[in-house]
Amino acid sequence: MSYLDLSLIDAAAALAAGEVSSLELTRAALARAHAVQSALNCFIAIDDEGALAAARAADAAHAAGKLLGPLHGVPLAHKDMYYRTGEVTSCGSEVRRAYRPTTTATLLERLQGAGAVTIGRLNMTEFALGPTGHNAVWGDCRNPWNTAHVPCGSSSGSGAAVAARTVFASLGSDTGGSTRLPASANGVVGIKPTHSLLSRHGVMGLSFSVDTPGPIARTAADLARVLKVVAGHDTRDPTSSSRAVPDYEAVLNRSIAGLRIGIPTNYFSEAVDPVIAAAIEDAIAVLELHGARRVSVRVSLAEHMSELSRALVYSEATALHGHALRTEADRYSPQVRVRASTGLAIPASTYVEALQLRSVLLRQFVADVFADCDVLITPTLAIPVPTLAETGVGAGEAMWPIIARLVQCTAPFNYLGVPALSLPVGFDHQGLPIGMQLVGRPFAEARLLRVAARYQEATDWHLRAPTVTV
Amino acid sequence: MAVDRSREIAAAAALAELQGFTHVTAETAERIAVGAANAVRAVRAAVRGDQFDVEPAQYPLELERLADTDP
Repeated sequence: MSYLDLSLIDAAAALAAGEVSSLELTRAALARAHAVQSALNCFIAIDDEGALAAARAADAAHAAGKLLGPLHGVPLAHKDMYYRTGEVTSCGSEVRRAYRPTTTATLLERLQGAGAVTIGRLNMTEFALGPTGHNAVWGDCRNPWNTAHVPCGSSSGSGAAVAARTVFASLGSDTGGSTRLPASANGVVGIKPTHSLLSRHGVMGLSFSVDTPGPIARTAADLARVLKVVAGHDTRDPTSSSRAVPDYEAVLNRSIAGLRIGIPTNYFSEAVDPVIAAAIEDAIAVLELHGARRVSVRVSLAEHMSELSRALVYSEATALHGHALRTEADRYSPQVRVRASTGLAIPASTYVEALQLRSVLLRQFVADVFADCDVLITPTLAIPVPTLAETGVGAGEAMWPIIARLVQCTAPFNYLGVPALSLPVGFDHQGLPIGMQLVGRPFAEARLLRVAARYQEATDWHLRAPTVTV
Repeated sequence: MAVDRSREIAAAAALAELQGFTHVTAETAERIAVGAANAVRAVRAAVRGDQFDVEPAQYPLELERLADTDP
């Protein structure tokens, strides 16, 4: 077994104990990244030189008796929309192919401060505008379980790179499901935290009302460690929450006996693929063995939340892209140009009404759902992972219903801003992973991670690795 | 009240063109504009209370107020 097969927590422990050096681990990660790149195209750039220098620095600190932090020497890579001063950040686009930001993302600073090593920039949907992972500029990212299928997006590279064991964790971002969908499609764990939990300073904007950075890893415990490092108020992002960040790892082992798990009777349970529905049912049974009990809940007005979210996202995206769309529209891929222009069709009054209704629906959602349960459970993806061909421009109009189904269960929680986590619970009839989504009230990340950890204690889906033909 | 979708779509496309965006089609307008407007109408009709005094900036405060108390 390679050190790359360890969880992040175990790899960090091995590094701290001196069982393996950061240089050895980083070299292995870089070799793996180069090996799978031709099959998966999950990287936009691999930074051998920078990664090895950071690894040597971590080893030098270790030799001097100092650990840099809880991620000391651990190789990571992130969606190519996290800025680092003076270094190219393409945002998966042609427009920003050579863009060099003048600031560094707070989240990257926090990861670096915790000792992490960055080995490259990961592929993503152009400007994060789309849930499949297609990218006409840098090439499509592919699913490591079956390269004919999408890895989902927009954090396509994050999901594929973590699943393919090139890195132990990755920052993605989630505006309609973009962290949870790749987590689901690639068989790993991803969280969209509460809207204001993580700083957005130095992160490419798509929709400032809805954008939420979020990590992807292989286990709930790994996710807990990364989330603790990056969460918390940032003076450079005035919208970030000032509340204290819990020690997610410290509460991870607590029991879930008596926990009420809510099973939706409407919308989220409609038209779910039967194999996926059966896998979710099996997963609920595992939680019941831990003492959780199920209750049925109705989520009022859920069928409208995705549309309301789209009204916010597309209005704001069109505003952010307005100048570039007027002056260099031909540098967008046709599909993304259309998506970035969609906000032009939304009247300002509709946009404001969608903003206004957000707190109203959030109050109603929490009152209606969490009066009866502690965690809501839905599929992450209600349909099997589609192929690249089914969801590419070549599919024509047939692609749109599939795209809409991809975000059916995820986008409503972007509108509400509540935390939602996806974890692997099986495989579909094509052999592609199935994800289950756990949803909580605002700032319930600790509770969601605890439920996911109990589930992973009893199952081994998260230990299964794709065989990537290199 | 019945909504004339074709007029709504045409207006959206015309507005886009006036703003200097020449690549917006009626299909683009239709895909989102009608869905968003319908959702707003439906939710407005269903939620409790009136909306005259709802301030969008209340939203982050609501997130904090409704926070989970799990240790």
